[in-house]
Amino acid sequence: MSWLTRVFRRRASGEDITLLRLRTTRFRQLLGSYASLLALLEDAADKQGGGYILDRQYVIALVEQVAELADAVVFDLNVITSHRNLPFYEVADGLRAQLRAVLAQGSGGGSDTVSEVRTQTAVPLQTVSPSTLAAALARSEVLYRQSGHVACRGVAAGPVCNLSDGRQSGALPPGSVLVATDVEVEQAALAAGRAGAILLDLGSAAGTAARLARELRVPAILGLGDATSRLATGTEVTVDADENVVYRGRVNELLDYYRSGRPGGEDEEEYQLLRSVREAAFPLTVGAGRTEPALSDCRTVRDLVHLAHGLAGDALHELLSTERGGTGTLVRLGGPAWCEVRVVHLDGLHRSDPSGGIMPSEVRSRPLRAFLEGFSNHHGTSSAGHHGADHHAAKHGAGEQRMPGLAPCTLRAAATDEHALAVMTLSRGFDMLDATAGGGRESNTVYCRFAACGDGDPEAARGAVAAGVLMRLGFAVSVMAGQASGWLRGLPWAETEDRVRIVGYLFARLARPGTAGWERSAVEPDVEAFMRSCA
Amino acid sequence: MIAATRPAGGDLLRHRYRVLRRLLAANSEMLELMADLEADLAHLDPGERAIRQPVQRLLDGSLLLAENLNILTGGAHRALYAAHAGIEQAVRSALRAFPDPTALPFVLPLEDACLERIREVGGKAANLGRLRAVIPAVIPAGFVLTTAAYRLFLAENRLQEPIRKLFKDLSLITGRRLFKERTAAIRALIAASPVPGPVVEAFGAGVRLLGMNPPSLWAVRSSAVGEDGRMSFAGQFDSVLNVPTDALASAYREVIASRYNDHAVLYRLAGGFSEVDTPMAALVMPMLDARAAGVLYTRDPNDASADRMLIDAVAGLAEAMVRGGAVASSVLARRSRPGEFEARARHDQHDGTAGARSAPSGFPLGAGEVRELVELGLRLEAPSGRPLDVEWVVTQGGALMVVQCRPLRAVDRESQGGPPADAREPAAKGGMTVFPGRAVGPAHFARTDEELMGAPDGAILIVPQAGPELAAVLPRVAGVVAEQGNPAGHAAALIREFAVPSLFGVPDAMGRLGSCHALSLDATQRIVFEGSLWPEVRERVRSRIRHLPGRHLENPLHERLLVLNLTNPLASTFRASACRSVHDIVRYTHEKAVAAMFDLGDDAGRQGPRRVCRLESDVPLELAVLDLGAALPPAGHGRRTVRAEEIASPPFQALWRGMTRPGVSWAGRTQMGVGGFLSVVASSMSDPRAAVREVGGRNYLMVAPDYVNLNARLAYHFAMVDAFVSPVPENNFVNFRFRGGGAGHERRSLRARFLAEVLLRSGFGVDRRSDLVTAWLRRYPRERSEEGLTMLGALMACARQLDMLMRDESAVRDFVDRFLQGDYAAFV
Amino acid sequence: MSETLRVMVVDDEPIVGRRLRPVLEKLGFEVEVFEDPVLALARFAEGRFEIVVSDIRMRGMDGIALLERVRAHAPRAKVILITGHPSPEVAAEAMAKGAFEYIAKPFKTDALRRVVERAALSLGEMPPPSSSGSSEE
Repeated sequence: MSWLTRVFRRRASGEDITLLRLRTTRFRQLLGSYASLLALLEDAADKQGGGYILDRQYVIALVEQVAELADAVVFDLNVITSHRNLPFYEVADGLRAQLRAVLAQGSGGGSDTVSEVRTQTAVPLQTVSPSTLAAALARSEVLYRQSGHVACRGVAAGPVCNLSDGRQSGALPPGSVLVATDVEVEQAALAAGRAGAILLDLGSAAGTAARLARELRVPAILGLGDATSRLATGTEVTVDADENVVYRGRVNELLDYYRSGRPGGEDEEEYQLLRSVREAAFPLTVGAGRTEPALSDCRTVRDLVHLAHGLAGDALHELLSTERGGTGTLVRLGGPAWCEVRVVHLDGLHRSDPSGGIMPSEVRSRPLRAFLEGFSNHHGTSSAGHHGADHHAAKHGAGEQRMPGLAPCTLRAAATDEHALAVMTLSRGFDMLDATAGGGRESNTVYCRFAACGDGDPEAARGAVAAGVLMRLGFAVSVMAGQASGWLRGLPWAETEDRVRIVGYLFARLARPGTAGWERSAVEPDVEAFMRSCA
Repeated sequence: MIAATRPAGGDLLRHRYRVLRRLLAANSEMLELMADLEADLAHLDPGERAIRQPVQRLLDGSLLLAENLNILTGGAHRALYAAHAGIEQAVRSALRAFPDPTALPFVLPLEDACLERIREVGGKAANLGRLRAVIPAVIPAGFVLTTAAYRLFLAENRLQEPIRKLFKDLSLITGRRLFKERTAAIRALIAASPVPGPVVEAFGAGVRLLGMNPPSLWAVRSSAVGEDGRMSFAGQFDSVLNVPTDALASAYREVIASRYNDHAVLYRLAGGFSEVDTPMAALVMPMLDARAAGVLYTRDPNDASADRMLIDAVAGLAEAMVRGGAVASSVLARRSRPGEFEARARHDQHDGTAGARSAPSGFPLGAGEVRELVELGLRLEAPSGRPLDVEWVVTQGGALMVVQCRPLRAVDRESQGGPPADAREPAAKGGMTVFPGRAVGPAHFARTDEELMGAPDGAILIVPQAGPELAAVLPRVAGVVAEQGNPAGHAAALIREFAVPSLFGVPDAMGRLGSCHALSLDATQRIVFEGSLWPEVRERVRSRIRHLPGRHLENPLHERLLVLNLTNPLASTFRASACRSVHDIVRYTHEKAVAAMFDLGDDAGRQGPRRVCRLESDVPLELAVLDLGAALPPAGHGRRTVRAEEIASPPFQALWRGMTRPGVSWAGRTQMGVGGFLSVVASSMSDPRAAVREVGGRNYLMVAPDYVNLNARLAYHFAMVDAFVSPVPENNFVNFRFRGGGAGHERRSLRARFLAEVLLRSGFGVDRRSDLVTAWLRRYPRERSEEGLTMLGALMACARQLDMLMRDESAVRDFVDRFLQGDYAAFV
Repeated sequence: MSETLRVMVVDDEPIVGRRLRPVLEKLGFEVEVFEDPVLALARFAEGRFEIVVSDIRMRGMDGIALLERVRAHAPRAKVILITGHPSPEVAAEAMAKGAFEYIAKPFKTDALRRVVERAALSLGEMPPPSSSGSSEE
């Protein structure tokens, strides 16, 4: 394609700039859709928790939103790749139909038939009258109200067994209320079977403990913050996980009320439906191995969207990196020229840059400037930045004293004042950053992607190192075929730029793995070493 | 080559439908963003991040919209890219010109508070600061705690979120109790928040600005951005007086809290300001040792054209008068002869005739002082030429000082008008006066929100129904004429707040005034004339709008993002290269995309052999059904037919309901032409007479869950329906085109007249050229759009043979009535 | 203390009534639950209900219509509308027609609890007994 050769010419023609602007903008929109999908995922997990009353309409709306996002992503992918991925549409349509089928199945045994049978005149079956119940509750001391997240609904009372004072979960008396900071899987499995209820300081509605509690149908409230310090072993409490309340003592009226009238502890149909929809839409089921998955492997919307975002990224990389010669404005990093950095400005306002190039501090784009600061900081301070005592850092530090004969890598960026897209071409694959910083919180976003393998790295452990670092930085991380992608949004301007700076540093650190290559066994120490080195 | 590639062959139709859907989704998102930004720009500094974000999204979104349109049309609108680049460049330069608000100072001396810094110092301080720069002797020294300090106060105490939450869903119509509860909660929040250290330090710095011997007592007043003293009694509720230096910070907090008084909040809600982001500054001035104080209106508020000023005065501090603690005496002073009185004072029952030479007894000012005050009033008025409301003080030392100065909203007797001067025939009359007065301006008709947003400054707005959405444009229109509206409703309350001459309940105003370009409205007499009758009124309207807060600096963001220049799709200026704003691009792409979809049927014919289903029904219409989305049930083995009820497409079902309505007959005298005919019909919307094509015998029906496109040859004529109907009104459209027939030209034309009349009366927009009728419904809610489709279904059937039945003009009227009454038997 | 307040919950999705009943009974209210708005209205006419919690989009009759009928019949009754399709227009219409509050689904039970408590307070009744406990946040 003839324009590709022209894109990076120093005085690129207006049409080339327009194309680059169109493609980068659309790619950003695609990433935004993916981020919205992740936000829906989180929101749905939150709603699943049980603190909310949700109805079938919510689940239906969720399905439509998810399908709509898939459509938008597939459309953008096709525009970016000049309609080379039309089969994605069929798969997206298929997934939409599949999600709707989940809804239809859910209603199959459904509410419609049941509701007709159910009596309409509502005669309370409760043996405890509301006024008695309310009076009893009013007398009771409230320990927590709306302080945590409900992981599993239900009501139970019993003596507290506080695991934080060294007690083993095996010693949990049956029917007691388990109180702990957090619980490991095995511990929870062991304990939850006997516990009447669970109260945790930490934990979220989507975590392991929550899942276990739901599976075992034990009323559970997580994330209370200070349950272990407030509730001593032996204290009698009543847990009302239907309403996210914990009372001191045993509120018999409440227990009687539920015993006589409460529908079973099982999840309601709507919640089961939500769970089925989440399972059908959100998990990443492909790409656990090291090979690139195919379109036909996609079983969830997330699979499809993830695959699409990868292909779109490939196309952007191709567009930005095809022409290797003098393209864009040169950015001088100082020190030995191990990486050639060039920037194309897309906002039409940029004055012509000096032919000798500019310094990173002269880059107008704020996110790109932050990125290059991190990127070049690594280079400039390669010896000072690493703690010699650390084995892994030392190993990589040695790798950075690169020999003059090595082929330099290239980093290409397209930027506006508040946005930057950068790709770094490696011998196998590429790393990519797309960052926006400069608007309000919600508009500050960072996306980055790291190739699976480095030089002499058959295990795809490089991506795992990147994923580990990104997770520490608060990114939502997905790994497909060893390749790590991370999203971050919603941080204030300055904090966003800090993360971008660290990502720039990570780019530089990962550019060369050192002579030994990456080892899967060393991923965790490598991540630790990196985090220490940027502290 | 940019964005022009698209798939070939059989997928083309589905592809175009997908592009359309994405385009429409983006279109409504853009409209929402623009509405939000419009409100924000009225009171937020463009340098703020909260502004940059929607601006960025608008720039990106409109660029991708342009690309979508080019994909849809095979690159027919590439000029949009250049237009977009121009817009983007202008917007970016504008944004770069605004400093980062975090770098702005917390305190400024009053004399530095100029109009250019109004977003930092607020309207009150800017007015005074400007005067202090010109006439320093009469304006006390002082300093301003800027909006940057206010932002820090909110941020440090994390108040934005709670305030935002409390204001959630709060509108003019919220229950009174809820409203009061929430405003009280906000005041309590503020009262409980400490003033941050840097702001306390800023007070110290401000005090030092006043020299070595700063005063010991101060007055702290609010100076808000975006209000500019337009509120009738601003200043009374948000001042704290006699504040010792060490209590300045807590007085400041009191002033901030007073911004959440019920009336202040109501006012801002009426003005469409979003609460938490409306920044405010505080003006701090030394307390003056007053011998007398009061208010000077440089025009008589009851008759602005009269040669007099009104002076209210009280001994001591004016605050007592304002609070009702002391009775003020007032005099009317001659403007043309400073020092002379004109009429009798209001509260003194002394006999004061016009032209009295002396002040009434008990008046706290001497004649010399009155002269001085009147002369000062004239000097203050001079730069703007507008009447002012001036708060003044005469110190024990006899010095005349101004402590507040804002525009006066006086009633203009002339503009209230007596009986109409000339005996012209009014273009419309009747209804009820919501706010009296005269207005002159261009007529602007608005049925939809988008049309409303497109109202030019100074327009006379004509709407079918006056609703609260008027708030968005009220500050900048000259007058309102509504066919319907509740004089006790919210729109009316807003109209009175903004003092816009308005009539509600003017019968058929849209129709009667439809042909007028300029209008002269006399809301007092309840009449509307065509043309521009009272030039002096027009001038006043213009000046009012020019001085609106928020647009004092010809804001390029406003101009390049929100202003709609391409209002008329039929005009020759409706071109890609003429797009000057993001709003233009949004409007242009929507219009052109919808037009492009009209041609879908042509492409269907060109598809050649492909798998389609035949519609199985009693209607003798050979319809090939093409599924664009998921509207058809999964294809069974070799299934070639589908029943109408199996098509999951509400817009199709609506159309079909009309086609099969009881009484509607398709069994005509002539059998349906199934193949064999060659007919010449128009196929291009932009120039219906140009492009022509041959029509085969097949009729195409393209369906998706939210879309229907019917392309049918019915006997000798050609009909097309193209509709997108979703829950989002902004996206919806119903288009209809009808042409041709076997009868002679005369009768075809009669039928076209019949169609046009029925469509018009059913609320469609209609364009009729010879025997070609084009009609449309745009941006109506789902129900209304579906009703339109159902009507079209019946209309197509009834109009089929009509050219044979139609003989003369009276037959047209007769058939129109019959059709609208549902008497379909007449058409068989 | 005056008689116990009676609350009617109307939603054609059964889960809403099922989940709201215990929430409201714990506050001491007498609760009746309906899935059919027409039946609910008939019952409203014969019984004494002070507070109505209703969905907006329902088969048979929409919540706005229900609101209008309830207000016509018993102007003092507080009507709280909930909807899965929130929009400013509908919210405005609901409030204009006298709804006490407007809540978007999905909502937390606690959010509804607070609104119903406020409704009870604004009826001038004694606050339900448990509201002393609920004030502890």
